[in-house]
Amino acid sequence: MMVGIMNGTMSLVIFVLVIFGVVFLIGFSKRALFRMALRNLWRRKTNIAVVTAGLLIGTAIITSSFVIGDTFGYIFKSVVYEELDRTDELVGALGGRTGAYAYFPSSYYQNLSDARDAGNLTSIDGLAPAILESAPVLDTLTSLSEASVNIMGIDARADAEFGFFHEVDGDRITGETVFLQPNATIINERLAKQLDAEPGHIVLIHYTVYINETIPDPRVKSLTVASIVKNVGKANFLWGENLFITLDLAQEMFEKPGMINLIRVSNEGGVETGVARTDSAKEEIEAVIGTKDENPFGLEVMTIKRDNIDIAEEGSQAISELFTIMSTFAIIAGVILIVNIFVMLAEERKSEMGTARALGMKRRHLVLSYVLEGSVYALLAAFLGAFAGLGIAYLMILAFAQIFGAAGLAIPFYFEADSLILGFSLGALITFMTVVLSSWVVSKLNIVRAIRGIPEPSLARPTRRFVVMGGLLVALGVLLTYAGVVQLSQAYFMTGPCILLLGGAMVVSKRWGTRVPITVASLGSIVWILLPVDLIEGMTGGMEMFILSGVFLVLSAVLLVMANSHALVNFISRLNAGRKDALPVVRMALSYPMKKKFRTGMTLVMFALIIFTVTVIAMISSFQANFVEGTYEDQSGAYDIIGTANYMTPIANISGTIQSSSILANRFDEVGTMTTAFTTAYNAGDGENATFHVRVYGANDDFLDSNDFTFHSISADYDGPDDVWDAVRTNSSLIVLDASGMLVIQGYAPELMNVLQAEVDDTVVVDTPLGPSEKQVIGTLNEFYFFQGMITSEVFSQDQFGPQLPVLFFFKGTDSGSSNIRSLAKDLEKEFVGSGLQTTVIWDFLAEQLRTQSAIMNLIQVYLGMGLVVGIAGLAIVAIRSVVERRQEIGVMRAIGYKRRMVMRVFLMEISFISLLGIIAGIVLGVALSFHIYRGFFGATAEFTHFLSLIPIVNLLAIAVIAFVLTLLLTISSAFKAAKIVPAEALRFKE
Amino acid sequence: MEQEHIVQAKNLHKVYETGELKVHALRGVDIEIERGEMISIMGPSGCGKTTLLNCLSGIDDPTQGEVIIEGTSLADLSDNEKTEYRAKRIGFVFQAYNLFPVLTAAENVEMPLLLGGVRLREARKRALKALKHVGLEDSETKLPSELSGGEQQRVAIARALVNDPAIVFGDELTGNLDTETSDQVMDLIHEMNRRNKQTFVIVTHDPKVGDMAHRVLKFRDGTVEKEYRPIG
Repeated sequence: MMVGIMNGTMSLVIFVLVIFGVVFLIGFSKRALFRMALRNLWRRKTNIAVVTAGLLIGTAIITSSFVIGDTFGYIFKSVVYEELDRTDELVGALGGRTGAYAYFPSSYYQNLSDARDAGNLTSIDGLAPAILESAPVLDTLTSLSEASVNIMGIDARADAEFGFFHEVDGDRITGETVFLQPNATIINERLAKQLDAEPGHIVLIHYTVYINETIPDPRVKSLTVASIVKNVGKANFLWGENLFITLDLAQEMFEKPGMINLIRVSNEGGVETGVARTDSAKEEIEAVIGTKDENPFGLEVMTIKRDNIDIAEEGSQAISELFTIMSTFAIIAGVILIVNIFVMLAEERKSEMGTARALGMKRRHLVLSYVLEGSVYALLAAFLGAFAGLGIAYLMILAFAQIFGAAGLAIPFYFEADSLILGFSLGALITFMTVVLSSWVVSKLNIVRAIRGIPEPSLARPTRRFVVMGGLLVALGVLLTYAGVVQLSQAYFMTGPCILLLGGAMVVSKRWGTRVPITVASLGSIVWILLPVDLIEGMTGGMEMFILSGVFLVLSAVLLVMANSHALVNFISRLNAGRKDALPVVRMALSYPMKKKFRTGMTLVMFALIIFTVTVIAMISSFQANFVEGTYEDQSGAYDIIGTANYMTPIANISGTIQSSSILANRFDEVGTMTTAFTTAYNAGDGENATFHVRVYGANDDFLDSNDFTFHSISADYDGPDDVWDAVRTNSSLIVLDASGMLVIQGYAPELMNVLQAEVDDTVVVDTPLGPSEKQVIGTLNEFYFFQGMITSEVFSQDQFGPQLPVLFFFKGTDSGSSNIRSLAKDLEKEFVGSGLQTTVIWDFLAEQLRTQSAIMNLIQVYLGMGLVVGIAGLAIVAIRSVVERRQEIGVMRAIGYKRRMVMRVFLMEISFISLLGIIAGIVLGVALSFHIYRGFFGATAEFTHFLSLIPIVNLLAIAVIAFVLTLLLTISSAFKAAKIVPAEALRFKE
Repeated sequence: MEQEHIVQAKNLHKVYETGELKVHALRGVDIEIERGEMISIMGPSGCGKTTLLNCLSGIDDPTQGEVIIEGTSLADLSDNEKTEYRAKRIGFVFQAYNLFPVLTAAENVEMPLLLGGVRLREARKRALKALKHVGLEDSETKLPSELSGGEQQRVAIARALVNDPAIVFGDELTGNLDTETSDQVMDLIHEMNRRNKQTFVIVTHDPKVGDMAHRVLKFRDGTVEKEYRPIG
């Protein structure tokens, strides 16, 4: 678990220990109560397994979400440690207009080195100057190339402080001897694999030098592969395809004599522990070179390792939270199960509780007895649940490994003991609190009625307290609705009217009885939640809406069913009226659950909630799988292929080259291009403190004329996309943004994406070589996959950022959409191999993305489906309990003419009825709510018939069948037991 | 004319085994009950009265011996056949009324008819008639919990009689009732017996109830200790 939570974990563990310690201490001081609690627990041994299984699920789900977070945290952090190795900070200036590091005199390195020798850099144990550029590399023997290779010029002697290179045959080398040969290079295994290179091969680096910083001069450098080293330590820098040369050679190649663009810094301590000294290291370095604002080259100490570790931790925490949020339904169901279990236990022991009270036991003693028993259950279930969670997480990680394995990402299973302890503590605490509450409620009894087994009188009219409660709910509902409108909060605006309706129903029930008001209120709530209209513009809501909608929908549906139970029983009875044997079975099977409203209602809520969640996830999965076209429209701009060239080797006149190419001529309808400049910008509304790195794309006329990228929003001053693009072409102060900023603003993407957040009509201040320049956002795109930043015209970009050549290309083939596009993409790469052009067939890329997302959703569906165990355990307990408490009635049934098989059918039908009702309610509500999500996906193109066609009927049927069959399997033994009861014995039976 | 025996029990033995403990509830009971007769079985607690009733009605099997009802030996019937027979020819009234708490009075009463295959509409008609006979025509939609003890027992009697059974078994049917209600219930039983010529076998502690029968069997330690016909 994350370090930040450590303190929280400890406090929680201590809190839990204190609570259980106090409970058991009181238990020991009241030995008789403790003995009674333990014996009650042990009395029905078969119950223990079912009850524990039901209780442990909450803990298991909580623990598994933590452990999944652990694993991802471990993976993310491992990536950071492996790609940075001993490097903790980088000294340099991001700000070369290509986005690469800007050059500065190597004297800065010398100053730092001198300071260290003088003992002024006590937090640092390694310093090394470097030149880092990216360029395409070609192996002359194999003719294979790699477009983006990190070209690293290093000082082998200084670099020795960052560890060794490890040759593939196992030797450790520093590079000094290797670099004695002229034009020698060391490459890592990753690059060697791409090039199929071996020692002795000649490789060519294609790069561009800008004469006087303006005129591009393409060059090629020939090098000999002297050594191939493993992808470990410094050779794995930035997880890239790395090629190492001497610093002198790099300075010569890039014509930067006496200059470097990076200083790598290693802190005192190891790869993982050095990061703790980040602050002091930064302080010491800044004392020598000055801060970013103080030195003329804008050099800053980039705390790269700590930043990346923070991002890794935030990322894994986000994953953990996502799983926890999605598991909320199962946890709620678990809490309901605990309440149900304790209410049933209390019913079973009502007579002895009455006797105990008659003999002088106080109500608090009864509560304590239950709490003691519940504490044993809570601890046992939390202990087993924590390990079950570990198992669940392991299976999930295995499944994730299957999904991502193809992409070459290794996903090892990893967990920290803290997660188990935290899961255990939270699980035990939730169970304990529910137990205390339930115990308090069930301990309230009428002694005489309890002893004599007389049922509690049913109230003809609601009590005064019920009405007052209703009044309070009305007030709360009004308050929430008002808060929703004022704060533009969907959560309040949705729940307020639901609570208001329920409270209203309770108030008027004094006059009109409960059935009609509750029916109206629950139907009203369902309609309100499912209303496919946004009544108030600009309301926001996040994941909590999913939880709240689910809980309120399911509660309303269950209230509706329970309020109209009599009508439901009559209706089903009439359907079976003509069939011999059927009616007595149906009537008996349905009457019990419909009369035991609390128990049935709670069980229904449990079951329906889980099925609801699984259904919604299945629906989202279906939407995703069917959203290729929508995604394609948004992300592709109607182009077929996206191409990127290395910034070192931009392509000056791609259309001309294509026309003169024997393999490419006349195969394209349109070719759009973009230059890119790297700078910083901030939203004028947010102020200079919220400055972000941004790319400024300079689009050529072809792109501005021909792209079909869809817009998320357009300023009211413009008629449509064409109008917007025309404005961008003619006015340098107008820009279009991609979707990434909007995604953060709307809560779909995390803040840590660190992107400029702006909406249409916002003013953005962009840093240019000519000074700050104000731009007005006139449109935001839906695109975010292939380019992220602001779009202006190529001409305006060059005016402000100096001469640039295009590096981003958009191709539309003459046979657009056909499978020929793939070969076209390959031919493009062949033709522009010298520029390292990398192509992506947009349709294939998006389809793969959606397949992966869909696979993840299916996995989450299975994960949430595990909550079914709660529902099924709940039904199993109801079944066991039903047979026990109705033993005598079974005797009467058998005496008056129910055959054995009829008794069995009564019990099977009873459980099937609850389970089917829960399944149907969950699926229907899940599908209905998904219409909201569908509209979010498909926007303006959303149509109800299309929505219906996307319902994954087979998937939902499978969910229903699995849930139903599992329920029957677990409850069938109870039905068998009921059928085998000998009537004479049953009639003698006293519980 | 020789009386027709509706029930004959020959050498009935019933042994309950609980672990190593054996309890002889019935020790060779021989009984003959005539059609239309009202018979009461009396005796102290644990003497085997209820066990005898259970064996006679076919809801329990004797360990040894034979029960013949309307000329058919229960031992020759399968469990299903015995159940069907009970549904059509036998009625039961229990001390604790044993109504189904989740069904209304009418639904409780019509249940034996539905089990016998009578259609719902017809069953409801006959159930209401039976409720009227026991004076509860206004209580058809009430749940047992909304009725008094006496009313519940009258519903139970209506349920026992609704399918016009040949024989009705009553186990301590006035045990939970006060004297006045007990008298009312017994008057009702008496009237049914006289009017419909139905056979009643009633287990009771109450000598007053027992003396309302045509014949009393005094039970002790699993055997019939004494048999007599009450005067009046």
